Amino acid sequence: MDQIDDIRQRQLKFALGIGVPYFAFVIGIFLLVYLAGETISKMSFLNFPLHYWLVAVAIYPITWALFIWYVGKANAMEDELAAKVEGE
Amino acid sequence: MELGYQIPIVALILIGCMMAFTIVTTFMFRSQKTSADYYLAGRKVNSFINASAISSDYLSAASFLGVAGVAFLYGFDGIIYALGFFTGYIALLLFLASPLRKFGRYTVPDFVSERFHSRRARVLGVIGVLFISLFYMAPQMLGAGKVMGLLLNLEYSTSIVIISLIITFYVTVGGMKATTVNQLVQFWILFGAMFLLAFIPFMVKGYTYTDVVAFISTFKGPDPITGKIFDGAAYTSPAYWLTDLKDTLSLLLALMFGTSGLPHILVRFYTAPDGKAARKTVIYVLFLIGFFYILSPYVGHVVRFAYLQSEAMGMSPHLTTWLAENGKNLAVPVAGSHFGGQLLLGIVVAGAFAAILSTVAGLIITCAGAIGHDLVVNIFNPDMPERSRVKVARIASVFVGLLGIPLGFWAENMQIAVLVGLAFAIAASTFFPVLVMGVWWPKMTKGGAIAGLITGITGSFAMILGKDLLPTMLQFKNPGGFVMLFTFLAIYAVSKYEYATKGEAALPHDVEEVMAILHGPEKA
Repeated sequence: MDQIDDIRQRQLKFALGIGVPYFAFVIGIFLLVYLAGETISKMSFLNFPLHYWLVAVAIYPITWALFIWYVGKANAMEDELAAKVEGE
Repeated sequence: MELGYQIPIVALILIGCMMAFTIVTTFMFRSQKTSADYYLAGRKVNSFINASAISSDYLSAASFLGVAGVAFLYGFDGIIYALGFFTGYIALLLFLASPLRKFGRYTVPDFVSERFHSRRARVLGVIGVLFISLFYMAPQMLGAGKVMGLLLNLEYSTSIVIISLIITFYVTVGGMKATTVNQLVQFWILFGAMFLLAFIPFMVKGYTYTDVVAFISTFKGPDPITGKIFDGAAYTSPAYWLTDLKDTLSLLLALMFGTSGLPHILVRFYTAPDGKAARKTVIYVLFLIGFFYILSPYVGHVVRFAYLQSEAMGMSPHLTTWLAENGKNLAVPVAGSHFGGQLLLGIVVAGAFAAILSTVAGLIITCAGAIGHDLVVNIFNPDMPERSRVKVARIASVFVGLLGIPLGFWAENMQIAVLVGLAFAIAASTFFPVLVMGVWWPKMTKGGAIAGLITGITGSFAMILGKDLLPTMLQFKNPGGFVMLFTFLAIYAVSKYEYATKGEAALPHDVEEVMAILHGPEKA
């Protein structure tokens, strides 16, 4: 049980380590856009308003890249665990 | 040759092809020897096919027509919906997809019941599944009746009956396997339609996102139909429509975490071969729906761009009037008619039809699982032989499918937002906290699970239906995010109390084995 508990805690730490900053980032962008709406809607990057960049475009590739990496790591962690258990 | 004047021939041809394909696949995949074959396609669905089917389940008529429609009406604020729907899969990927698949049962009530050895939790789970799925199904039927009626010149009631009969037929005969194959095809039809709707104005006409937003943001003048002054700068800025931060934040939380509690989405992860495949499936889903949600707000904006210059851009007065009156539901078909004529309009109508079929099919199979597998088999007759279980599954599918007809009639006078709000609020505030805590917290007790289910269901109902009786600070457009916090708290407090009074006896006797299944390596 101790071993499973360790594994569970390791997986949870990893998921929270990615999830908490990600959700904080999404909610943070949302709050930034709403609380500083007037300022941010005047800012632009490549002639496209910054708030559109953040909410309508940039969030998607950032999420894809982050979670492709996450799935690779999570699956590798599982393989490592399976090999360890088999070895014992 | 225009929207609303005659039935688009291309739409009829495409819908005819889709129906022919549905009949063929339904009979090809109709063989089901076990209930796992019927409900879960034998748990052998390839990640990419599963991802297309999940995306198709998820992208309902409300998403296909609604996200672009909301962007057309409310500009930048409409994009918040797309963002919430998209990020909904992250919590699912991080906390639930792989462990739920490893647990390897059939339905969400199965998990709560077997994790805590509680029939009461199973019954509450069934109530939650039925509430969420039926509240979700009612607006689909309403959309089917209204939109298909308008686009194909059919009466509201005729559209409802036709759609219910078609879906009931193929879900009942074909089970999850045929439903999955049909959803795969339906997804690519609806995605293809949205892609063309964005591709033609962007690539062929040269209206880039930058140009469209720049034009709208500097526009200040009369609306072409209503004559009211339209302020483009406000439309492209935050808080044009979502003016209350508390409401918007609760809506965003409900969308972000509600997806992880939608039973018709969760059940699809049981169809993956293993936990790793379940994770891979979510990545494909993120790509498929991500592209969709980048495209649809653009389509909403480009329709506004065309509408504001309707005379100069040659938009017919008929389409302009339709947009002014029905922009929320019909911005997408109007875009099809204006930018691609009869051909693109036909593809768009077929896309809307595909979106309705796929989502309702997913909901029927989920409700059938809750009634057939959880109630009839597990509560009333656990010793039922396998062949009879498949029969029960089919009868439950016919029952739920036909229930769509009265549900559609009932929904005709309901507010769509209230029904969808209830579905997402119950999903976010009930299943998400109960499943996350059940998967990751070994010290969660049966009492904690039941308290969580009751808090989520009653809290959502009370805050939506009794909204006017609450003080202003507790009134939310969608209380899902707010009630979710209380559900987490209720689970934690009741579990801690039970553990403090009963000690280890408060925990399920097999919690160690269950944790090993959920988090340990899978057996080959």
